[in-house]
Amino acid sequence: MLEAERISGGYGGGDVLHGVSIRVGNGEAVALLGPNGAGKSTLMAALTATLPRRSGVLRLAGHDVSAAPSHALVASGLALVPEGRQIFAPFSVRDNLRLGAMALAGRSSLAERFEHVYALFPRLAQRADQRAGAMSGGEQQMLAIGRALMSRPTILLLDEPFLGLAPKIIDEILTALALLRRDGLTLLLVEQKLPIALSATTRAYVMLKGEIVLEAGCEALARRSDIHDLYFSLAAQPAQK
Amino acid sequence: MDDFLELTVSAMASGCIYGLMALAYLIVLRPTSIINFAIGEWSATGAFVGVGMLSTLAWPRFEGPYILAIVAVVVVLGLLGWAVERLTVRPLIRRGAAVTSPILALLGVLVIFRESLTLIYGADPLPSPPPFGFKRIEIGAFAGASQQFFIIAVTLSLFALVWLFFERTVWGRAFEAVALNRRAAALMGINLGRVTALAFAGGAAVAGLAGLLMSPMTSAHYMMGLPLAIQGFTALVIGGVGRVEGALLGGLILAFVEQLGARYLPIPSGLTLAFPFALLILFLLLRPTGLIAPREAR
Repeated sequence: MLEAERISGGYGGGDVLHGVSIRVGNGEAVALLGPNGAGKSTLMAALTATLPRRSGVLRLAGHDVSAAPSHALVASGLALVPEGRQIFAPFSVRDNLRLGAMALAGRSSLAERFEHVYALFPRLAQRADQRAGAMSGGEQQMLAIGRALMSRPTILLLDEPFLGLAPKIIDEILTALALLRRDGLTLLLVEQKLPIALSATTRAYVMLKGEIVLEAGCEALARRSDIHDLYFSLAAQPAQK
Repeated sequence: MDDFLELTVSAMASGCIYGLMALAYLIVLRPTSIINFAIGEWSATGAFVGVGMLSTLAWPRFEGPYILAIVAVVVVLGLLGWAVERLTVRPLIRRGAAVTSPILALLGVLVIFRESLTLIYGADPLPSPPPFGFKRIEIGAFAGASQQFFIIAVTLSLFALVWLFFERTVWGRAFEAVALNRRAAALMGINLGRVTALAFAGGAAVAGLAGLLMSPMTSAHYMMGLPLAIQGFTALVIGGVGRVEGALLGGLILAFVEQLGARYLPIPSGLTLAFPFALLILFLLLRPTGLIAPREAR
Protein backbone atom coordinates (compact mmCIF):
# COMPACT_ATOMS: atom_id res chain seq x y z
CA MET A 1 0.00 0.00 0.00
CA LEU A 2 2.57 2.57 1.17
CA GLU A 3 6.26 2.06 0.53
CA ALA A 4 8.94 4.55 1.44
CA GLU A 5 12.49 3.75 0.42
CA ARG A 6 15.60 5.44 1.78
CA ILE A 7 13.86 8.74 2.52
CA SER A 8 16.25 11.56 3.47
CA GLY A 9 15.41 15.13 4.19
CA GLY A 10 14.92 17.78 6.84
CA TYR A 11 14.24 21.41 7.55
CA GLY A 12 16.80 24.00 6.52
CA GLY A 13 20.37 22.77 6.15
CA GLY A 14 20.76 19.48 8.00
CA ASP A 15 18.92 16.23 7.37
CA VAL A 16 16.66 14.92 10.09
CA LEU A 17 15.86 11.70 8.24
CA HIS A 18 18.73 9.44 7.18
CA GLY A 19 17.57 6.92 4.60
CA VAL A 20 14.35 5.82 6.26
CA SER A 21 12.51 2.89 4.68
CA ILE A 22 9.11 1.71 5.83
CA ARG A 23 6.39 -0.39 4.28
CA VAL A 24 2.74 -0.63 5.22
CA GLY A 25 0.72 -3.40 3.61
CA ASN A 26 -2.87 -3.22 2.43
CA GLY A 27 -5.27 -3.27 5.40
CA GLU A 28 -2.40 -3.42 7.86
CA ALA A 29 -2.09 -1.33 11.03
CA VAL A 30 1.49 -0.35 11.76
CA ALA A 31 2.95 1.71 14.58
CA LEU A 32 5.91 4.07 14.37
CA LEU A 33 7.49 4.24 17.82
CA GLY A 34 10.26 6.41 19.11
CA PRO A 35 11.13 9.05 21.68
CA ASN A 36 10.76 12.80 21.26
CA GLY A 37 13.00 14.17 18.55
CA ALA A 38 13.46 10.85 16.77
CA GLY A 39 12.14 12.35 13.54
CA LYS A 40 8.72 10.69 13.51
CA SER A 41 6.81 13.87 12.67
CA THR A 42 9.44 14.83 10.13
CA LEU A 43 8.88 11.46 8.46
CA MET A 44 5.11 12.14 8.40
CA ALA A 45 5.82 15.49 6.74
CA ALA A 46 8.11 13.80 4.21
CA LEU A 47 5.49 11.12 3.44
CA THR A 48 2.84 13.78 2.78
CA ALA A 49 5.19 16.02 0.76
CA THR A 50 4.75 18.94 3.16
CA LEU A 51 8.51 18.67 3.65
CA PRO A 52 10.67 18.50 0.54
CA ARG A 53 12.51 15.17 0.40
CA ARG A 54 16.17 15.33 -0.57
CA SER A 55 16.20 11.76 -1.76
CA GLY A 56 14.17 8.58 -1.62
CA VAL A 57 11.28 6.92 -3.36
CA LEU A 58 7.64 6.98 -2.28
CA ARG A 59 5.14 4.50 -3.67
CA LEU A 60 1.40 4.49 -3.05
CA ALA A 61 -0.63 1.45 -4.14
CA GLY A 62 2.21 0.45 -6.47
CA HIS A 63 2.51 3.84 -8.20
CA ASP A 64 5.62 5.97 -7.86
CA VAL A 65 4.42 9.21 -6.26
CA SER A 66 7.85 10.58 -5.32
CA ALA A 67 7.25 13.79 -7.29
CA ALA A 68 3.59 14.27 -6.33
CA PRO A 69 2.65 17.41 -4.36
CA SER A 70 0.63 17.17 -1.14
CA HIS A 71 -2.75 17.81 -2.70
CA ALA A 72 -2.20 15.09 -5.30
CA LEU A 73 -1.26 12.61 -2.57
CA VAL A 74 -4.48 13.44 -0.71
CA ALA A 75 -6.45 12.94 -3.92
CA SER A 76 -4.86 9.51 -4.39
CA GLY A 77 -5.89 8.30 -0.95
CA LEU A 78 -3.24 9.32 1.58
CA ALA A 79 -4.40 11.41 4.55
CA LEU A 80 -2.53 12.63 7.63
CA VAL A 81 -3.90 13.64 11.01
CA PRO A 82 -1.05 15.99 11.88
CA GLU A 83 0.66 16.37 15.24
CA GLY A 84 -1.11 18.93 17.40
CA ARG A 85 -4.36 18.49 15.42
CA GLN A 86 -3.93 21.69 13.33
CA ILE A 87 -7.66 22.23 12.99
CA PHE A 88 -8.89 25.56 11.62
CA ALA A 89 -9.93 27.00 14.98
CA PRO A 90 -11.98 30.01 13.79
CA PHE A 91 -14.10 27.88 11.45
CA SER A 92 -17.12 25.81 12.39
CA VAL A 93 -16.85 22.04 12.77
CA ARG A 94 -18.80 21.62 9.53
CA ASP A 95 -16.47 23.99 7.61
CA ASN A 96 -13.44 22.10 8.91
CA LEU A 97 -14.91 18.83 7.69
CA ARG A 98 -15.89 20.39 4.36
CA LEU A 99 -12.30 21.54 3.81
CA GLY A 100 -11.17 17.99 4.49
CA ALA A 101 -13.12 16.97 1.39
CA MET A 102 -11.41 19.49 -0.93
CA ALA A 103 -9.80 16.66 -2.89
CA LEU A 104 -13.08 14.78 -3.16
CA ALA A 105 -15.05 15.06 -6.38
CA GLY A 106 -18.82 14.83 -6.51
CA ARG A 107 -21.62 16.11 -4.33
CA SER A 108 -23.26 12.79 -3.51
CA SER A 109 -20.03 11.38 -2.11
CA LEU A 110 -19.68 14.55 0.00
CA ALA A 111 -22.95 13.85 1.80
CA GLU A 112 -21.86 10.25 2.23
CA ARG A 113 -18.55 11.35 3.81
CA PHE A 114 -20.34 13.66 6.27
CA GLU A 115 -22.61 10.77 7.24
CA HIS A 116 -19.67 8.44 7.66
CA VAL A 117 -17.74 10.84 9.93
CA TYR A 118 -20.81 11.83 11.97
CA ALA A 119 -21.63 8.14 12.50
CA LEU A 120 -18.08 7.50 13.70
CA PHE A 121 -17.99 10.56 15.99
CA PRO A 122 -21.60 11.53 16.86
CA ARG A 123 -20.30 14.42 18.96
CA LEU A 124 -19.13 16.18 15.83
CA ALA A 125 -22.67 16.08 14.47
CA GLN A 126 -23.96 17.68 17.67
CA ARG A 127 -21.36 20.41 17.43
CA ALA A 128 -21.47 20.94 13.66
CA ASP A 129 -22.11 24.69 13.90
CA GLN A 130 -19.76 25.34 16.80
CA ARG A 131 -16.45 27.15 16.45
CA ALA A 132 -13.88 24.34 16.27
CA GLY A 133 -11.40 26.12 18.54
CA ALA A 134 -13.98 26.28 21.34
CA MET A 135 -14.22 22.49 21.68
CA SER A 136 -12.37 20.29 24.17
CA GLY A 137 -9.04 18.73 23.23
CA GLY A 138 -10.64 15.32 22.72
CA GLU A 139 -13.34 16.71 20.46
CA GLN A 140 -10.75 18.64 18.48
CA GLN A 141 -8.82 15.40 17.97
CA MET A 142 -11.98 13.68 16.77
CA LEU A 143 -12.47 16.59 14.38
CA ALA A 144 -8.88 16.28 13.12
CA ILE A 145 -9.42 12.56 12.43
CA GLY A 146 -12.86 13.16 10.92
CA ARG A 147 -11.47 15.90 8.70
CA ALA A 148 -8.78 13.55 7.39
CA LEU A 149 -11.42 10.88 6.69
CA MET A 150 -13.45 13.33 4.57
CA SER A 151 -11.09 12.80 1.62
CA ARG A 152 -11.97 9.07 1.60
CA PRO A 153 -8.41 7.91 2.26
CA THR A 154 -7.22 4.36 1.71
CA ILE A 155 -4.36 4.89 4.15
CA LEU A 156 -4.56 7.11 7.21
CA LEU A 157 -1.46 8.41 8.98
CA LEU A 158 -1.97 9.57 12.57
CA ASP A 159 0.74 11.59 14.31
CA GLU A 160 0.44 11.14 18.10
CA PRO A 161 -3.34 11.55 18.15
CA PHE A 162 -3.62 10.56 21.82
CA LEU A 163 -1.23 13.14 23.24
CA GLY A 164 -2.68 14.84 26.32
CA LEU A 165 -6.10 13.18 26.12
CA ALA A 166 -8.10 11.63 28.97
CA PRO A 167 -8.18 7.80 29.06
CA LYS A 168 -11.91 7.76 28.31
CA ILE A 169 -11.38 9.79 25.11
CA ILE A 170 -8.41 7.62 24.15
CA ASP A 171 -10.67 4.55 24.40
CA GLU A 172 -13.32 6.25 22.28
CA ILE A 173 -10.80 7.07 19.56
CA LEU A 174 -9.25 3.59 19.72
CA THR A 175 -12.73 2.12 19.21
CA ALA A 176 -13.22 4.36 16.18
CA LEU A 177 -9.85 3.29 14.75
CA ALA A 178 -10.79 -0.38 15.24
CA LEU A 179 -14.02 0.23 13.30
CA LEU A 180 -12.09 1.92 10.50
CA ARG A 181 -9.68 -0.99 10.33
CA ARG A 182 -12.55 -3.44 10.15
CA ASP A 183 -13.76 -1.50 7.11
CA GLY A 184 -10.40 -2.05 5.47
CA LEU A 185 -8.61 1.25 6.15
CA THR A 186 -4.83 0.97 6.36
CA LEU A 187 -3.28 2.72 9.38
CA LEU A 188 0.13 4.11 10.26
CA LEU A 189 0.13 5.32 13.85
CA VAL A 190 2.91 7.45 15.34
CA GLU A 191 3.02 6.87 19.08
CA GLN A 192 5.39 7.12 22.01
CA LYS A 193 3.58 4.77 24.38
CA LEU A 194 3.83 1.06 23.63
CA PRO A 195 0.56 -0.02 25.36
CA ILE A 196 -1.50 2.27 23.11
CA ALA A 197 0.37 1.19 19.98
CA LEU A 198 -0.19 -2.44 21.00
CA SER A 199 -3.94 -2.02 21.29
CA ALA A 200 -4.29 -0.47 17.83
CA THR A 201 -1.60 -2.06 15.65
CA THR A 202 0.04 -5.40 14.93
CA ARG A 203 3.51 -4.42 13.73
CA ALA A 204 5.88 -1.63 14.68
CA TYR A 205 8.92 0.28 13.55
CA VAL A 206 11.14 1.91 16.15
CA MET A 207 12.81 5.13 15.10
CA LEU A 208 15.79 6.78 16.74
CA LYS A 209 17.73 9.83 15.59
CA GLY A 210 16.22 9.79 12.12
CA GLU A 211 16.77 6.09 11.45
CA ILE A 212 14.66 2.97 11.73
CA VAL A 213 16.51 0.85 14.30
CA LEU A 214 14.04 -1.99 14.79
CA GLU A 215 11.09 -3.62 13.09
CA ALA A 216 9.05 -6.15 15.05
CA GLY A 217 5.62 -7.55 15.74
CA CYS A 218 3.89 -5.67 18.52
CA GLU A 219 3.56 -8.74 20.72
CA ALA A 220 7.25 -9.49 20.46
CA LEU A 221 8.00 -5.90 21.38
CA ALA A 222 5.71 -6.09 24.38
CA ARG A 223 7.79 -8.92 25.78
CA ARG A 224 10.92 -6.77 25.66
CA SER A 225 10.52 -5.03 29.02
CA ASP A 226 9.70 -1.33 29.16
CA ILE A 227 9.74 0.66 25.94
CA HIS A 228 11.80 3.47 27.44
CA ASP A 229 14.48 0.96 28.40
CA LEU A 230 14.22 -0.26 24.84
CA TYR A 231 14.82 3.21 23.39
CA PHE A 232 17.69 3.55 25.80
CA SER A 233 19.38 0.26 24.96
CA LEU A 234 18.86 0.76 21.23
CA ALA A 235 20.35 4.24 21.45
CA ALA A 236 23.41 2.85 23.24
CA GLN A 237 24.32 0.47 20.43
CA PRO A 238 25.06 1.50 16.85
CA ALA A 239 22.03 1.31 14.57
CA GLN A 240 21.37 -2.04 12.92
CA LYS A 241 20.87 -1.78 9.22
CA MET B 1 -23.22 72.35 5.83
CA ASP B 2 -23.95 71.95 2.12
CA ASP B 3 -20.32 71.69 1.24
CA PHE B 4 -19.84 69.17 4.03
CA LEU B 5 -22.44 66.89 2.47
CA GLU B 6 -20.86 67.33 -0.94
CA LEU B 7 -17.51 66.55 0.62
CA THR B 8 -19.06 63.38 2.04
CA VAL B 9 -19.89 62.08 -1.44
CA SER B 10 -16.45 62.93 -2.75
CA ALA B 11 -14.73 61.35 0.27
CA MET B 12 -16.90 58.26 -0.01
CA ALA B 13 -15.87 57.87 -3.65
CA SER B 14 -12.15 58.30 -2.91
CA GLY B 15 -12.48 56.01 0.08
CA CYS B 16 -14.02 53.35 -2.15
CA ILE B 17 -11.04 53.54 -4.52
CA TYR B 18 -8.59 53.28 -1.60
CA GLY B 19 -10.67 50.40 -0.25
CA LEU B 20 -10.44 48.58 -3.59
CA MET B 21 -6.67 49.04 -3.62
CA ALA B 22 -6.48 47.76 -0.04
CA LEU B 23 -8.61 44.79 -1.11
CA ALA B 24 -6.22 44.09 -3.99
CA TYR B 25 -3.33 43.98 -1.50
CA LEU B 26 -5.37 41.86 0.88
CA ILE B 27 -6.43 39.20 -1.64
CA VAL B 28 -2.77 38.54 -2.44
CA LEU B 29 -1.38 39.06 1.06
CA ARG B 30 -3.77 36.86 3.02
CA PRO B 31 -2.98 33.44 1.53
CA THR B 32 0.60 34.16 0.40
CA SER B 33 2.06 36.63 2.96
CA ILE B 34 3.35 38.60 -0.03
CA ILE B 35 2.88 42.39 -0.12
CA ASN B 36 2.53 43.17 -3.79
CA PHE B 37 3.38 46.83 -4.46
CA ALA B 38 2.96 46.26 -8.20
CA ILE B 39 -0.82 46.62 -7.82
CA GLY B 40 -0.45 50.40 -8.22
CA GLU B 41 0.90 49.80 -11.73
CA TRP B 42 -1.76 47.19 -12.32
CA SER B 43 -4.45 49.77 -11.57
CA ALA B 44 -2.84 52.12 -14.11
CA THR B 45 -2.80 49.23 -16.59
CA GLY B 46 -6.48 48.67 -15.88
CA ALA B 47 -7.20 52.32 -16.60
CA PHE B 48 -5.37 52.15 -19.94
CA VAL B 49 -7.02 48.91 -21.00
CA GLY B 50 -10.42 50.40 -20.15
CA VAL B 51 -9.71 53.67 -21.95
CA GLY B 52 -8.52 51.70 -24.96
CA MET B 53 -11.82 49.85 -25.06
CA LEU B 54 -13.83 53.04 -24.70
CA SER B 55 -12.11 55.46 -27.08
CA THR B 56 -10.31 55.38 -30.37
CA LEU B 57 -7.30 57.15 -28.89
CA ALA B 58 -5.50 54.15 -27.54
CA TRP B 59 -4.86 50.49 -27.99
CA PRO B 60 -6.88 48.22 -28.00
CA ARG B 61 -9.01 50.37 -30.34
CA PHE B 62 -12.61 49.54 -29.88
CA GLU B 63 -15.44 51.92 -29.06
CA GLY B 64 -17.42 49.51 -26.95
CA PRO B 65 -20.05 49.86 -24.27
CA TYR B 66 -18.84 50.47 -20.71
CA ILE B 67 -19.73 47.04 -19.41
CA LEU B 68 -17.41 45.56 -22.04
CA ALA B 69 -14.58 47.77 -20.78
CA ILE B 70 -15.16 46.50 -17.25
CA VAL B 71 -15.15 42.88 -18.41
CA ALA B 72 -12.01 43.48 -20.49
CA VAL B 73 -10.18 45.06 -17.54
CA VAL B 74 -11.09 42.19 -15.22
CA VAL B 75 -10.11 39.52 -17.75
CA VAL B 76 -6.89 41.15 -19.03
CA LEU B 77 -5.64 42.11 -15.57
CA GLY B 78 -6.62 38.72 -14.17
CA LEU B 79 -4.51 37.04 -16.86
CA LEU B 80 -1.62 39.45 -16.27
CA GLY B 81 -1.69 38.80 -12.52
CA TRP B 82 -1.79 35.07 -13.13
CA ALA B 83 1.14 35.29 -15.58
CA VAL B 84 3.21 37.42 -13.20
CA GLU B 85 2.70 34.86 -10.45
CA ARG B 86 3.74 32.05 -12.78
CA LEU B 87 6.84 33.84 -14.06
CA THR B 88 8.20 35.62 -10.98
CA VAL B 89 6.68 34.36 -7.73
CA ARG B 90 6.33 30.63 -8.33
CA PRO B 91 9.92 29.97 -9.44
CA LEU B 92 11.16 31.73 -6.29
CA ILE B 93 8.86 29.81 -3.97
CA ARG B 94 9.77 26.55 -5.67
CA ARG B 95 13.43 27.23 -4.95
CA GLY B 96 12.61 27.83 -1.30
CA ALA B 97 13.36 31.57 -1.36
CA ALA B 98 12.56 33.74 1.66
CA VAL B 99 9.21 35.55 1.60
CA THR B 100 10.97 38.88 0.97
CA SER B 101 12.29 37.65 -2.41
CA PRO B 102 8.92 37.69 -4.21
CA ILE B 103 8.23 41.15 -2.74
CA LEU B 104 11.47 42.48 -4.25
CA ALA B 105 10.85 40.66 -7.54
CA LEU B 106 7.40 42.29 -7.70
CA LEU B 107 9.04 45.71 -7.31
CA GLY B 108 10.91 44.81 -10.49
CA VAL B 109 7.59 43.86 -12.09
CA LEU B 110 6.31 47.28 -11.04
CA VAL B 111 9.06 49.02 -13.03
CA ILE B 112 8.48 46.79 -16.05
CA PHE B 113 4.76 47.60 -16.08
CA ARG B 114 5.31 51.34 -15.66
CA GLU B 115 7.85 51.53 -18.47
CA SER B 116 5.73 49.32 -20.73
CA LEU B 117 2.78 51.68 -20.22
CA THR B 118 4.82 54.70 -21.37
CA LEU B 119 6.09 52.69 -24.36
CA ILE B 120 2.63 51.58 -25.44
CA TYR B 121 0.49 54.60 -24.51
CA GLY B 122 3.03 57.43 -24.28
CA ALA B 123 3.72 59.72 -21.36
CA ASP B 124 0.75 62.05 -21.84
CA PRO B 125 -2.44 61.50 -19.83
CA LEU B 126 -5.32 59.99 -21.79
CA PRO B 127 -8.82 61.27 -21.00
CA SER B 128 -11.16 58.57 -19.79
CA PRO B 129 -14.87 59.01 -20.55
CA PRO B 130 -17.11 58.42 -17.52
CA PRO B 131 -19.97 55.96 -18.20
CA PHE B 132 -22.70 58.44 -17.27
CA GLY B 133 -21.12 61.60 -18.64
CA PHE B 134 -20.21 64.64 -16.57
CA LYS B 135 -23.67 65.07 -15.06
CA ARG B 136 -24.16 66.26 -11.53
CA ILE B 137 -26.41 64.07 -9.47
CA GLU B 138 -28.31 65.07 -6.34
CA ILE B 139 -29.79 62.51 -4.00
CA GLY B 140 -31.51 64.45 -1.24
CA ALA B 141 -28.90 66.70 0.30
CA PHE B 142 -26.05 64.62 -1.14
CA ALA B 143 -24.65 65.87 -4.41
CA GLY B 144 -21.70 64.92 -6.58
CA ALA B 145 -20.47 63.92 -9.99
CA SER B 146 -22.17 60.91 -11.55
CA GLN B 147 -18.82 59.12 -11.60
CA GLN B 148 -18.56 59.43 -7.81
CA PHE B 149 -21.89 57.69 -7.33
CA PHE B 150 -20.88 55.09 -9.93
CA ILE B 151 -17.65 54.39 -8.01
CA ILE B 152 -19.53 53.97 -4.75
CA ALA B 153 -22.12 51.62 -6.29
CA VAL B 154 -19.58 49.42 -8.08
CA THR B 155 -17.28 49.25 -5.05
CA LEU B 156 -20.02 48.32 -2.60
CA SER B 157 -21.31 45.58 -4.95
CA LEU B 158 -17.81 44.23 -5.45
CA PHE B 159 -17.10 44.17 -1.72
CA ALA B 160 -20.38 42.34 -1.17
CA LEU B 161 -19.39 39.73 -3.78
CA VAL B 162 -15.89 39.27 -2.37
CA TRP B 163 -17.29 39.02 1.16
CA LEU B 164 -19.74 36.34 0.00
CA PHE B 165 -16.90 34.49 -1.73
CA PHE B 166 -14.76 34.40 1.42
CA GLU B 167 -17.53 33.70 3.91
CA ARG B 168 -19.94 31.51 1.98
CA THR B 169 -18.04 29.42 -0.59
CA VAL B 170 -15.74 26.45 -0.12
CA TRP B 171 -13.03 28.09 -2.19
CA GLY B 172 -13.23 31.21 -0.04
CA ARG B 173 -12.85 29.03 3.04
CA ALA B 174 -9.90 27.33 1.37
CA PHE B 175 -8.21 30.72 0.82
CA GLU B 176 -8.73 31.56 4.48
CA ALA B 177 -7.52 28.10 5.52
CA VAL B 178 -4.27 28.67 3.61
CA ALA B 179 -3.90 32.01 5.44
CA LEU B 180 -4.45 30.36 8.82
CA ASN B 181 -2.23 27.31 8.36
CA ARG B 182 -0.53 26.57 5.04
CA ARG B 183 0.55 23.08 5.98
CA ALA B 184 -2.82 21.95 7.29
CA ALA B 185 -4.42 23.42 4.17
CA ALA B 186 -2.10 21.38 1.96
CA LEU B 187 -3.02 18.26 3.95
CA MET B 188 -6.69 18.95 3.11
CA GLY B 189 -5.87 18.51 -0.55
CA ILE B 190 -5.93 22.25 -1.26
CA ASN B 191 -3.63 23.06 -4.16
CA LEU B 192 -1.44 25.84 -2.72
CA GLY B 193 -0.04 26.76 -6.13
CA ARG B 194 -3.53 27.23 -7.53
CA VAL B 195 -4.61 29.35 -4.55
CA THR B 196 -1.53 31.58 -5.01
CA ALA B 197 -2.18 31.98 -8.75
CA LEU B 198 -5.87 32.76 -8.16
CA ALA B 199 -4.92 35.28 -5.45
CA PHE B 200 -2.67 37.16 -7.88
CA ALA B 201 -5.29 37.04 -10.64
CA GLY B 202 -8.01 38.27 -8.28
CA GLY B 203 -5.83 40.99 -6.77
CA ALA B 204 -4.82 42.24 -10.22
CA ALA B 205 -8.44 42.28 -11.44
CA VAL B 206 -9.57 44.32 -8.43
CA ALA B 207 -6.65 46.74 -8.82
CA GLY B 208 -7.38 47.14 -12.53
CA LEU B 209 -11.02 47.88 -11.81
CA ALA B 210 -9.99 50.53 -9.25
CA GLY B 211 -7.80 52.15 -11.90
CA LEU B 212 -10.62 52.18 -14.44
CA LEU B 213 -13.06 53.69 -11.92
CA MET B 214 -10.52 56.35 -10.90
CA SER B 215 -9.43 57.30 -14.43
CA PRO B 216 -12.27 59.72 -15.35
CA MET B 217 -11.23 61.97 -12.42
CA THR B 218 -7.47 61.90 -13.05
CA SER B 219 -7.12 60.68 -16.66
CA ALA B 220 -5.24 57.49 -17.40
CA HIS B 221 -1.61 58.24 -16.74
CA TYR B 222 1.45 56.07 -16.33
CA MET B 223 2.22 57.66 -12.96
CA MET B 224 -1.28 57.24 -11.53
CA GLY B 225 -0.37 53.96 -9.84
CA LEU B 226 2.05 55.24 -7.23
CA PRO B 227 -0.35 57.37 -5.14
CA LEU B 228 -2.98 54.62 -5.39
CA ALA B 229 -0.49 52.05 -4.16
CA ILE B 230 0.42 54.24 -1.18
CA GLN B 231 -3.15 55.14 -0.31
CA GLY B 232 -4.28 51.55 -0.67
CA PHE B 233 -1.48 50.32 1.56
CA THR B 234 -2.37 52.94 4.19
CA ALA B 235 -6.02 51.90 4.01
CA LEU B 236 -4.95 48.28 4.47
CA VAL B 237 -2.90 49.11 7.56
CA ILE B 238 -5.72 51.20 9.05
CA GLY B 239 -8.40 48.59 8.44
CA GLY B 240 -6.30 45.58 9.37
CA VAL B 241 -4.68 43.00 7.13
CA GLY B 242 -7.10 40.23 7.95
CA ARG B 243 -10.60 40.99 6.81
CA VAL B 244 -12.37 42.14 3.66
CA GLU B 245 -14.56 44.64 5.52
CA GLY B 246 -11.44 46.14 7.11
CA ALA B 247 -10.09 47.15 3.69
CA LEU B 248 -13.23 49.20 2.93
CA LEU B 249 -13.32 50.72 6.41
CA GLY B 250 -9.63 51.70 6.18
CA GLY B 251 -10.15 53.27 2.76
CA LEU B 252 -13.12 55.33 3.94
CA ILE B 253 -11.34 56.55 7.09
CA LEU B 254 -8.28 57.60 5.09
CA ALA B 255 -10.36 59.47 2.50
CA PHE B 256 -12.42 61.30 5.13
CA VAL B 257 -9.32 62.35 7.08
CA GLU B 258 -7.67 63.55 3.85
CA GLN B 259 -10.62 65.53 2.53
CA LEU B 260 -11.94 66.95 5.80
CA GLY B 261 -8.38 67.85 6.78
CA ALA B 262 -7.75 69.62 3.49
CA ARG B 263 -11.05 71.51 3.80
CA TYR B 264 -11.11 72.51 7.46
CA LEU B 265 -7.53 72.46 8.77
CA PRO B 266 -5.48 75.61 8.19
CA ILE B 267 -2.63 73.97 6.28
CA PRO B 268 -1.36 74.52 2.74
CA SER B 269 -3.03 72.19 0.25
CA GLY B 270 0.29 70.73 -0.87
CA LEU B 271 0.71 69.17 2.55
CA THR B 272 -2.46 67.08 2.29
CA LEU B 273 -0.34 64.49 0.50
CA ALA B 274 1.24 63.88 3.90
CA PHE B 275 -2.02 62.60 5.40
CA PRO B 276 -1.69 58.99 4.30
CA PHE B 277 1.88 58.85 5.57
CA ALA B 278 0.96 60.44 8.89
CA LEU B 279 -1.88 57.95 9.36
CA LEU B 280 0.34 55.09 8.24
CA ILE B 281 2.99 55.94 10.84
CA LEU B 282 0.37 56.50 13.52
CA PHE B 283 -1.26 53.13 12.97
CA LEU B 284 1.98 51.20 12.61
CA LEU B 285 3.08 52.66 15.96
CA LEU B 286 -0.14 52.45 17.93
CA ARG B 287 -2.27 49.74 16.35
CA PRO B 288 -0.26 47.56 13.93
CA THR B 289 -3.09 45.01 13.65
CA GLY B 290 -5.43 47.66 12.25
CA LEU B 291 -8.98 48.29 13.37
CA ILE B 292 -10.38 44.86 12.47
CA ALA B 293 -8.04 42.15 13.66
CA PRO B 294 -7.50 39.01 11.56
CA ARG B 295 -8.80 35.66 12.72
CA GLU B 296 -6.43 33.95 15.10
CA ALA B 297 -4.99 30.63 13.98
CA ARG B 298 -5.73 29.04 17.37
